[in-house]
Amino acid sequence: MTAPVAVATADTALADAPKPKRRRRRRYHAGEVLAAYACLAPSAVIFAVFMYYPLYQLFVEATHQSNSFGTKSRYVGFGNIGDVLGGSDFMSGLGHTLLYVVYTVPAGLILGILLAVAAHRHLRGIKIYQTIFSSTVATSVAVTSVIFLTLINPSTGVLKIDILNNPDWALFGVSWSSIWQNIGLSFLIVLAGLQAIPEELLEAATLDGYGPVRRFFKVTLPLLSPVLLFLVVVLVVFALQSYAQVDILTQGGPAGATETLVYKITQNQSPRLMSNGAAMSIGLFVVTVIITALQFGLLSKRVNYDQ
Amino acid sequence: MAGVTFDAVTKRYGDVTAVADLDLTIADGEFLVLLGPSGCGKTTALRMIAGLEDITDGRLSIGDRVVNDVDPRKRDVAMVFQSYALYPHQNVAKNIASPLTVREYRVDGENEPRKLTKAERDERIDEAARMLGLEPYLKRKPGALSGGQRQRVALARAIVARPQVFLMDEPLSNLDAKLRTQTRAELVDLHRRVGTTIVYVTHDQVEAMTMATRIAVLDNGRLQQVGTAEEVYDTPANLFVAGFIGTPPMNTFTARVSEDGRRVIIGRGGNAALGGAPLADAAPSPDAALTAGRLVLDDAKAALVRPGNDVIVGVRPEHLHLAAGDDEHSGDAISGRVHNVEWLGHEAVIAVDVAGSTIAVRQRADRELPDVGADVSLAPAPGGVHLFDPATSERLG
Repeated sequence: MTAPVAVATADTALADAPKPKRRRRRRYHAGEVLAAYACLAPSAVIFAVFMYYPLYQLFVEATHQSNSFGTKSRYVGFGNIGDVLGGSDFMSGLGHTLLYVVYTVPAGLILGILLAVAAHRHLRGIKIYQTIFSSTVATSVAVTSVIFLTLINPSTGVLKIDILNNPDWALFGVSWSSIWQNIGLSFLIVLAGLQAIPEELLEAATLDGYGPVRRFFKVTLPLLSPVLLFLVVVLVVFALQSYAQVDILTQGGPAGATETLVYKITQNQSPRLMSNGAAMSIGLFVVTVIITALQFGLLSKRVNYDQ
Repeated sequence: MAGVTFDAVTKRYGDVTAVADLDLTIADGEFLVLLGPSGCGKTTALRMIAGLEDITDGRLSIGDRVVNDVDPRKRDVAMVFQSYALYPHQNVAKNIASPLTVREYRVDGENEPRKLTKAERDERIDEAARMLGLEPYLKRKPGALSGGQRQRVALARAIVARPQVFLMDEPLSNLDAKLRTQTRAELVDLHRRVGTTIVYVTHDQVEAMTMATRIAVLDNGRLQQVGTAEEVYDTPANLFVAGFIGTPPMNTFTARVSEDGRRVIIGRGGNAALGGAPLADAAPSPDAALTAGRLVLDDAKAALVRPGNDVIVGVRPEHLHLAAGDDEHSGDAISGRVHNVEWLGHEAVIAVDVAGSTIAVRQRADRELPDVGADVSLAPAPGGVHLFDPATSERLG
């Protein structure tokens, strides 16, 4: 996705330099070809075993219907995938999942930037704050979810917020736990990005008359853009795959209000429902690919890779 | 335009004093070079002018205005950074325009400063781009420029603001040798054309000698000497300056004034560039060490010393005349043995061992060169002897 940008800079760079000779494609010896394939083999095997074969198996499952015991299955065709993906179950799961993206990604991004900017200072003891802010990276989703549950428990918790039992608000409630969980990662990534920006650049901006706010939006943010694009993509994928927090906090309830796609997929695991689950997995895969491609397509034009 | 005045300015980081009690007046329109080895406080001094470092003590003025507590944005200075600090996401035109978009400027014939109009900004950008030959590159990003071009963009960004003072922090250090020589001349030319005060930091004495109207030599946070290139070279104020300026720098010898007060008896010698001791606090004792030779003092020098005093004698490498054995200099010479000969085409630098350490002799390459291992005698040219106080390192006379 970065290719157009790179080509553009290379072209302008060489505008008045002598044109480099086009590299001639040469023939490789049989030994070289063999060596190349030998080197590729380990990753090819790993991909085949863990990616391509499961993907193939997914299509097999999605196009076959089993009986309740999984002992017999018959081919039901690709129409089954279309039926499942067009059905209300998948659509409601997709709706919850997309809403979850909207709840968690912008909040995670903004909080990550705020905390990183706050902690990117040369102060005594700042490492302590940096460690605290990044601590959730080292904590599993299960642990944060349980802590969160205890924290907001309506009768015994510190915060006593009864949000997970309200169908209109439960998904929003679950998203808090995710936002909190993601803060460590967002913080670390943005902080690393900030530390890569040369101090002299910000000093130059100061002498050019930029105040702190303008300096942030005109210099810091553009230079952070590759890091932020990466972070958005990661946070969106996390949100699309959210499962554990739902399972621990609400088990999809109340009344299915927090059933995300992955949660629904896991609910369709019995032999009879396996084809539905497989079809939904394919749907999630397609949605993830489309959204990620859109992000790169739309955002990478605004991202600056020059350093 | 304005000058800059340091009035007893001190900068401390915790227990470390980076700049100590600096008194320095930089005249309006001057090209002043802050010269010294790394860690001497020159960059800190420059950054204090810019407002990028707080001032611990003393007063710093730009023109008539004390700027200790003035925000960097309001100081009306422009800085060229060692890394150039160009905005990588903006093209050259935008980089150059950067100081014009935010700050307010006083326009000729108007009383109140205001933001410039687009036409005024474009005019200034075009002028700067023309002056520095950047017109073909205005639409490029810095990443697509060579080091020399980036350096010129950084200069253009400084020029468009028409500041009171230009601050430059080792702006040539990232260029190759040839480009550096060329850019030195361009900077001098630029200074001549715009006439603005320039404060320029470098550790390279050649840059200082070739560009500065005056050089301020710093060491260890303290100002050692301020003067023109000639003054700093011909009459170094102390042993540090003597041992820092010149390639190779001045040779120094421990010595004692003879009983008649007309001669100095030479002990050990050394040259900072050859790994020899600069002899900052050395005294020629015990007496037995005074065996390397003796030199005659002229009347002016003899008046500065008393018989029996310890002194440090300094002689520049080009002021030492070299002769084979004893034939030419009779008794008043330093004897040594040739250690190495570096032939550089237009000149030769001859390393000579004198009483255990090495000094440098520079002579024209068309004269006959001694063989390595040959015994030689050395005598200074008339007026070539400098005397320093061994206790304080300060120059005598």
